[in-house]
Amino acid sequence: MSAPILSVRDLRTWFYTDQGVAKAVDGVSFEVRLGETLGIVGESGCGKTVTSLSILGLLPQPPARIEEGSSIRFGGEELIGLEANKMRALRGNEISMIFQEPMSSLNPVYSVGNQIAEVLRLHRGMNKKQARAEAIRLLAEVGIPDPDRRVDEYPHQLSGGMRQRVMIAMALSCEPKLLIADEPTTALDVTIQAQILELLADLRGRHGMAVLLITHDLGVVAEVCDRVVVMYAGQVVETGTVYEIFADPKHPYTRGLLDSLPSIDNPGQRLTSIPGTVPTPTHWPAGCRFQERCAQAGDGCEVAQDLVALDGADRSARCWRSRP
Amino acid sequence: MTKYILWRLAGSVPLVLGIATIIFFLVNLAPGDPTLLLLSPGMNQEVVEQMRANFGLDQPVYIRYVKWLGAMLTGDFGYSFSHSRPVLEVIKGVLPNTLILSAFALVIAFVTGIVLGTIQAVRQYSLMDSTMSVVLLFFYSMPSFWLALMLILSLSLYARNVWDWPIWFPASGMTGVDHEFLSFAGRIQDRVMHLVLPTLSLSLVLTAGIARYMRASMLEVVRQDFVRTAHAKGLPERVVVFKHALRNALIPIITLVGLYIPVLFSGTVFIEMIFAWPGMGRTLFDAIFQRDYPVVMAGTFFFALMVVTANLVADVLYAVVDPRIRYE
Amino acid sequence: MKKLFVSTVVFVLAGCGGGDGAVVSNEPFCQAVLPAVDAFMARARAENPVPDDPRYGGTAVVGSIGELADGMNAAVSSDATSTQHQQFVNLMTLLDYDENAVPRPYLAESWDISDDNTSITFHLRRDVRWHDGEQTDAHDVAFTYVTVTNPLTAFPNSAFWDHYVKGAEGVEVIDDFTVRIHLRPHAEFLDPFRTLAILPEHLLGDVPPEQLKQHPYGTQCPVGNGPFVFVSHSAQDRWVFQANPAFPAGLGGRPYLDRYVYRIIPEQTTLLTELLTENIDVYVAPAPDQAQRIVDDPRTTLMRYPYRQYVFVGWNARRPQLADPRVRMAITMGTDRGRIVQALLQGYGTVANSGVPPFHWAFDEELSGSVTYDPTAARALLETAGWSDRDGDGIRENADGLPLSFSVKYNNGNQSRQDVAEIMQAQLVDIGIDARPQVVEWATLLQQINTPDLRDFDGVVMGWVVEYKLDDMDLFHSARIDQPYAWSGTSNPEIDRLLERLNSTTDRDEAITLWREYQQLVIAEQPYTFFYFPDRLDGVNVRLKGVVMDTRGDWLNIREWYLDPASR
Repeated sequence: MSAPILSVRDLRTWFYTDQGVAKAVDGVSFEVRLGETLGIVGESGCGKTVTSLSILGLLPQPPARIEEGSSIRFGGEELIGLEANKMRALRGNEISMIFQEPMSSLNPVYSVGNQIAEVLRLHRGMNKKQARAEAIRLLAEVGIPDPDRRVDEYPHQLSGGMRQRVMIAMALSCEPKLLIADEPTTALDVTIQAQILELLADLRGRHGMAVLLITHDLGVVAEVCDRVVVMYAGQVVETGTVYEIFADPKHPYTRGLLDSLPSIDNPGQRLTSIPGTVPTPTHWPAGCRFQERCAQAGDGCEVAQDLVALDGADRSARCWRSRP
Repeated sequence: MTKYILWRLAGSVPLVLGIATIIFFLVNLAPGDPTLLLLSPGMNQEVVEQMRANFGLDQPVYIRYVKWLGAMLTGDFGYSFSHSRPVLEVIKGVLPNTLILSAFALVIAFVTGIVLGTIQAVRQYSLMDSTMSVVLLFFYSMPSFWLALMLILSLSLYARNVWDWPIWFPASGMTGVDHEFLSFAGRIQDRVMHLVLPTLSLSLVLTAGIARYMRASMLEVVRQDFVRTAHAKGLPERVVVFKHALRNALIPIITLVGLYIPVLFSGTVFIEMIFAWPGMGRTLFDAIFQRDYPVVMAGTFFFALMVVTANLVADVLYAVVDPRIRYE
Repeated sequence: MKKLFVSTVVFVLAGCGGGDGAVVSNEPFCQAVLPAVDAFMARARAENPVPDDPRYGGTAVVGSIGELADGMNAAVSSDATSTQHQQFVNLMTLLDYDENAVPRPYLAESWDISDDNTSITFHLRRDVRWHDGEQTDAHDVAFTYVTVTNPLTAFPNSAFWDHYVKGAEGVEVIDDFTVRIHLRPHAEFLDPFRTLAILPEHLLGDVPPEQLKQHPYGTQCPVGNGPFVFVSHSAQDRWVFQANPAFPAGLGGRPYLDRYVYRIIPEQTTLLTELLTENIDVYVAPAPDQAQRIVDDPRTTLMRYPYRQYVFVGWNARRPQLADPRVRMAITMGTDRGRIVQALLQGYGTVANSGVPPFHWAFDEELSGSVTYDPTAARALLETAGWSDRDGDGIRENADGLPLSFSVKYNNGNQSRQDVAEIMQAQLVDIGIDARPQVVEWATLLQQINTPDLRDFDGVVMGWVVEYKLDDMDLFHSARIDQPYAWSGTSNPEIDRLLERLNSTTDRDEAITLWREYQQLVIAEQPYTFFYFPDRLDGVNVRLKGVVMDTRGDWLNIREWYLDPASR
C-alpha cells in the first residue's frame, strides 16, 4: 500500500466564542491515499465541514484555533503552521475543494470562464489566451455541452448541475493530488446527483487523485466511496471499508444511520429515526457522547469511549460493546 | 441594452413635464409677486400695475401656464425679472459652475468613501476601523453648511493669519480677482484652489455616508460563499478583496448615486451661498424669494432633468456592474 | 486612462463656468456698443498717460452681500448699492453734496434757481464724455428727466417728482449744455438730482419706457461717463470696472485705482474672512458683532457713520388693541430701547424717537429724551386707558374682555429684527402685554402689510431708508391712507397740515420750527415704536487709503481711493 497523501492526526479545532469554547473537531484522525475516495459521514453539526476547512486553513483564526498537538500532513509536509504564501500555493493547485452550493459558491459578476482561467493563470502561469482555451477544454471534460459559448456565460445562466460541473472543472484545473468535496450533491436533484457522482468517480479514475468526500447521505457513500469515516459530536466513531460499514456496522450510531435509510425492499414500512438531536459543541456530554440517543446504552457508557481498533485494516469503533 | 436606455429615456419625459407643471402652479400660486419687492416710497398703485403688466403678470394663471409650456418646448424659457436677461442665458452662465462643483464632490466622495469603507471592512474590529467609524460618524452628522463655515475659518482665516501655514485657501468665489491675467497653468491652479473648500464641504458628508454603506456591504459580501471559493483557489487576499468582493459590494452603492444626486443639489444651495459660488442653487434660491417665476421654473426644470438623468445613469451602471440585471 | 482623466479635468477647469470674468454678453445691443467703448478707451489711454505719481495703480476689491440688481440703469433701479454705483462709480449725477449736505457741482458746473423757485437752469460741463466717446450734453439730461417722470417707466422713487412738472413739459433744452427744469416750489428740491444719474440718450433714447427694465444696458453693458468704465459683470459673482483716463481733469482726472472689482458674497462670515485674509479691501456693512474683530486686527480699520435708515415696529392702529395712542405710548415706554441698542448693535447706533435722523439739520436734540423707559408709568398709562388684568393671567384686558395680545411680525433671515421682536416680547410681559413674535417670509410679509385692503398684521418690525429730503407723507398723511406704505393707518389732521407745509417750505429756518412741531406730534401719536438708527459700518483694509465714508454714501469718493504703493 502506498503512503497516504493526506494524514490527519488528532485534529482538534476549537472555536472560542462568547458562549464558551466550541470543540467542533475534538481529536479526529484519518488517512487518504491517492486513487481512493474516503467518505466522511455524519449528521450536521458533527464537525465534518470544519474538518475539511481545517485542512485547507480556510477557518478565520480567531475565533477558530487549531489546537496544539494536531497534525495535518500532506505529502509529508505539515500544513498546520505553514507559511501563508506556501499554503496559498497549495490551494487550488495541489489541494482543491468544491462546495455544497454551486450558485453561491461562484462569483455572480464574472463569467465562468473567467473564474476557471483565474486559477490557471495563478498556479500554472498561463496567459489569457492559453487559459481561456484550457478552460474550454476543462468544461468539455466535465461534460458541459457547447463549451465555447458557455465559457463566457455567467453562473446565473447555468443550471445547478452545470454549475457544479464548473466548480469541478475549476477544482481540477491544476491536477490536484487531493480533492475535497463538501456535500457536492446535496443541493442538486437526484438525477443530477447521479451524474455528478459518476463524473467524480470517472475523473478520479483518470487523474488518480485522492478524494475526500464529505456527506450526510449514505446513499452517496455507497456509490462512490472506498472507505468511510463516521463522525459524531466532533469525534470519529467508526472507520472501515464501505463494505464493512454497510455489512457489519459496529457502532450504534452507524447502525442507526443505516436503519434510517429507506429500503426499496420494504415499501410502505415506517422509517426509523435516531431519537434526539446532536448535542451542542460547547457542551459535549461527559462519557459517551452518543449515550442519550443510543438504543443500546448501558453501564459502560458513563466513561468516555476510546476508538478501539478492530479486525481489518483501518477498522475501528468507539463503543465498548463493539469490542471483540 | 440600448433599448433599455431608450425606454427609460422615453419614460422620463412625462415625468419631467409633470414636475415642471407642479412647480409652475406652486410658484405662481404662492402669495406675493415680484413687484412687491420693487416697491418704493411714493409708488402708487398705477405704477405697481404698470410693473405687473410689464412682467406679463396681469394675465390669469392658466393662460400664463399654456404660454410658458409652449415657449419652453421651443427652448424659450422666458425673461428673468431680476436679472433682466433671457432665462436661458442666466442658466447657461451658472449651471456649469454647479455641475463642476457637484461632479468633483461626487467623484471625490465616492472614490474616498469606497476606499475607506473597503479598508474598514477588511480591517474589521481593528483600532483603525473603530477610529474611522467615529470620525466618519462625526462628519456624517455635521450639516454641510456648518462644516463649510468651519473649513473657512480654519483653512482660510486661521491657516493664514494665526497658524502661518504655507498653504491656505480662498474663502469664496470661483476664481481670483486677477484670474484673467494669469498664465494657463496659473489659471488652473487658481481654479483648483478655489474648488478645494467648497468641494470638501460638500463631499465630506457624502463620503462618510458612502463609507458606512460600503463597509456594511463589504462585510456582507465577504461572508458569501464565493469569497470562500476564491480563498480555496489560493488567490491572494488582495485579489479576493478587490476583484471578487469589491465588485459585488459596489452594487448597492450604485443605488446611492441615484439617491445622493438630489441631496447633492440641495446641499449646493448652502455651499454656494457660503462660498459665493455663482451657481444654479443660489440663483434658484434667490429667484424663489424674488418671485422671479421664469427663473424658478426653468431652474427647477433643469434640476429635475438632472436628477432623472442621474437615476438613469445609476440604472445603466447597475447593468454594467451586475450581469444578472443585463440579461433580464 | 489616467492621462485621459487628468486632461478632462484640466479642460473642464480651464474652460467651463463664467467665473473667469471674460464674459461678454451676446445681446445685439451690447455687441454693437462695446467696440466703440474699447476704441475710445484705447485712444483716451494714449492721449492721457498715467501721471508720475506712485498713488496711481492697483486693484481694489469691495465685497458685499447684495447683487446690483438693475445695475447702472438709473431709471429703474431701486436698491441703495446700485444707486451708489450710478452716482459715484460708473455714471454721473448733476450735483453732489459736501460734508455739510450743501449741494456742489458735479456734472452741472453751475445752476440758477428762478426767484419764484419754479425753475432750475443747469449749466453742464463741456468736458464730460460717455465712455464710447460721445459728448454728454443737455439732451441726455432731458431724456433722463422725461424717462423717470414717465409712469410707464415705473421709476421706483416716483415720489421724488411729486412737485415737479413731469414729462416733456417739465424740461427745456436751452442749448447743448443748458437745460431748464420746471417745478412747483417745495423743500429740498435739489435732492433728487443728487441721486439721479444721467443716462445716455444716444444709446437708450429709442427704447420704449416700459421695456427699460428688461434692457441689457443696466447689467450687461452699461456705458457711463463717470470715473470708472464698465468692464464685465458675471451674475451673482462680480462687477469689474477700470479707470476712465478721459475723466475731466477739472474733476481730478482719472481715478488713482486702475481697477475696481465689486464682489457679491452672500454670507457674512465669509465676507469677514475675506477681509481678514486680505482678499477683499472693503467689507460693506458688517454685522455689529463682527465689528470688534475688524477693530482688533491691525490690517483693518472700522469706518463708522450714522446711517439714513431706522428700524421700528409699525403698529396697525386699525386693530382694536392698538387703536389708542396711549396704548402705543405705553408699549414704547415699556421697552428699554437704550439697552437694546447696546445689546444688539454693540453700541453702534442711536435710539430713534421719530423718523428724523440724528445727524439731520431738522433733528430736535431736546426731544430725544422725551420718551424714556419707564415701566411704572407705562402700567399707569395702560390702566388709565382702560386695560387691566381682570382675570389674573398676567395679561391685561379691556372692559369688553379683549386681551391686550397681538403678534409682531418680522421677515425671516433678518437676525436683528427677530431679536427686536423677541426682546420686546420679554419686556412687555412685565407690563401685562402679550406681544408674540411671528416670522414671515419676506415677499409674503410685504404682501400682507402693503395690500391696502388686507393689512394683515398687528405689529411689524421694519426698516425705512430716508433721503436727505425727508418726506413722511406716504407714511402718515391721511390722503395716502390707502396707499401701500400707510401701515399704521393713523389719521391726524395736525400732522397732515404740517406734512403739507413742510413739503412746500423752502426756507430752512422756518422749516426747522415746523419739523420740531412735527416731531412732537409724531412722538405723541406713536404710530410706530421707533427703535434705532443703526450706524453704518465698513471694514477697510489699511492699505486702501484716502477712503471717506459718511451719510452721503460708502463709495462717495472712490475716485480718490488709492492703494499704498508698498503693498501692491
